[in-house]
Amino acid sequence: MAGSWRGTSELGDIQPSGTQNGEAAVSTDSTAEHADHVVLFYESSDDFIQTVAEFAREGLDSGESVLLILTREHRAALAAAMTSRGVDVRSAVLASRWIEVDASDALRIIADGGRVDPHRFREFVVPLLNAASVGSRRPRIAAEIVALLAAQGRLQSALDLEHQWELLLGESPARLFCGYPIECFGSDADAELFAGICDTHRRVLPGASFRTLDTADKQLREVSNLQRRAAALKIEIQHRRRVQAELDQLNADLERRIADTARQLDQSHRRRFYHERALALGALARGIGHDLGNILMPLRMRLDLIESRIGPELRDDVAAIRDVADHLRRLTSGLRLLTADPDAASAGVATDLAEWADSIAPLVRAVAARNISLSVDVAPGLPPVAVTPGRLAEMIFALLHNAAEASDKRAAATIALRAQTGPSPETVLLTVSDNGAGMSPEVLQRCTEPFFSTKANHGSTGLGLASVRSTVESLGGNMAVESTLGAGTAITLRLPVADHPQQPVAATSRQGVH
Amino acid sequence: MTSALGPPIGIIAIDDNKLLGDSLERWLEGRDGFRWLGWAGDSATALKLLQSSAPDVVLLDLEVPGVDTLDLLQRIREQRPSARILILTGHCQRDAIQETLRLGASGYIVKDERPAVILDMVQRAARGEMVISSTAGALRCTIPSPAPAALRA
Repeated sequence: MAGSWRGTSELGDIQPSGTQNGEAAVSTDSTAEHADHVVLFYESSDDFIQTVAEFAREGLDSGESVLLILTREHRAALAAAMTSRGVDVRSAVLASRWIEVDASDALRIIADGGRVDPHRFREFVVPLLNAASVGSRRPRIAAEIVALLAAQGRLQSALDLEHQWELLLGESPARLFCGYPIECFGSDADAELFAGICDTHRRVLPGASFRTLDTADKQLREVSNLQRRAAALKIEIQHRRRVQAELDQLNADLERRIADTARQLDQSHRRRFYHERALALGALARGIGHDLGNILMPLRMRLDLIESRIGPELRDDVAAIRDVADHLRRLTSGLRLLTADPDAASAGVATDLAEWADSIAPLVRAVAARNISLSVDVAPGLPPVAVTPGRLAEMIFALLHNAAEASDKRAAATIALRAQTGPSPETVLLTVSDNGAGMSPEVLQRCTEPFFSTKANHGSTGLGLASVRSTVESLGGNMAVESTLGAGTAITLRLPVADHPQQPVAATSRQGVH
Repeated sequence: MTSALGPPIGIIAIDDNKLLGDSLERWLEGRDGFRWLGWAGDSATALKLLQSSAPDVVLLDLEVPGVDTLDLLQRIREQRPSARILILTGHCQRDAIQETLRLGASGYIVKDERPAVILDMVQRAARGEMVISSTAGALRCTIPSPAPAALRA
């Protein structure tokens, strides 16, 4: 690299001074008494080292001394660069015209917690300047404490230090050469501090990429080119920000969907668990129903035999046993309804609600605590409904169970199961009402959501009302919930009437059987 | 035989519940219009009893040890085509009802019926009717075509 440090041109601080064999050269003001403060934003360490080497060589050639406040790596590289230029650094050192200070050590001395202390700075630098001065001539200084601060992201501290240097140069003129790796200013947010650092220097030296601009025309073309690139970069940045925002949105959507899927999976597992438990309980109840049937038949036959052979004094006792057997029979019948295959086809089904209510009555009593008063009221003459007895039992027992829980431990608690004509001839209303705890508007709003439960810690699955609603809707009906906190709840199933009731296959009439 | 005024209806029961067999026997003792022919607790005994007693009505449980009840039902039909087979069971399942009727059973009686009702159903079955307990009837089973009654006609 060859060339000299020169003053400014009409283009401002950037001053290419010509090229030789493709190498760039820059120069500083050569006036000995004139202060100079220049900066190079370099693209490679080698560019920085070669520029410092040239700066130092010119100083030594002109009888000045050189003060170098550089990193250890850069000082080693500079020594090699000086040797390649044929400069005898050792003699300069012996003559106190070549003084090296480690930039990292310097930073530790003048800075406190990353902030430069002006007092410490002056205490550190002024003696060095005095020691390096030759007569009245101040030394040339190459320093990169600011670069270390910039590399740490402390651009404001770097700018503060530049101001301190500038103040010092105002008091005692010298030539100061600063260097920053250009990548220290990689963010848009650094633009203002970058401009500030440029402004504290009297000149900004062109980086290696711009040293071939040896005519004003070339410089103007390059400036235009840079403007165009800046504009293109601005558009690109805007585009990337837009894409980034879209990506963020997609990520948020994805996270939401993953969370939804995880929740659904969890609900699915819980449904499966409860379904399997229900199946196991169903099998148990079926077994009990079967065994009860096996016991009842011989029991009733023996009762018939006994009754035919005893005197009137024991007839009441036999009648009492027969009542027990009848109760067991109805219990068995109710168990069958509850454990009937819920998936059994319901096409053509016509369930008589009076008969159905009669068959489940013993189980209804078993659902609620004894202190709860239970009533079953089926309006006369209701048309049969298009729901299998088992489905109906399954839904009503879920509602009764809820009502019983809401009424538990309440004085004068009552639960009523009522069947009546619907608002249109095609429907029948089946209502389970209680005077229990009732629901707040918030709970009422959510009570049919799957797994929503206010009794999650007390064995409730939160599936009851959701399951009933789903079932009744799948049958073409619907469910209405009315509730007042502290006053009770009424849940009404609107059930479709059987369109074309089919006669059962030679079914035995229940009339007179019980 | 199929008339109420005709000879008594011969009945056997195939059920692993001995208490039920004994009770049926005791209950039918001395009742006009019925003749108790015996009880079998397993498949082999049942086929022997069928051979030796020539019943008019067979009361068949759905769970006979050591055999698939549907197979047994078909073997009884082959061995004794004139006998009316009535399923007498503690179960009440739509599939079981439809399948047994399809294979030629004349009825499906759930065991928790009152004895008098069961007897009435036996009599009607012996007359050629198809009978189903009211509990089972509520399931609205349909008899596959051709109807077993027609096959026996």
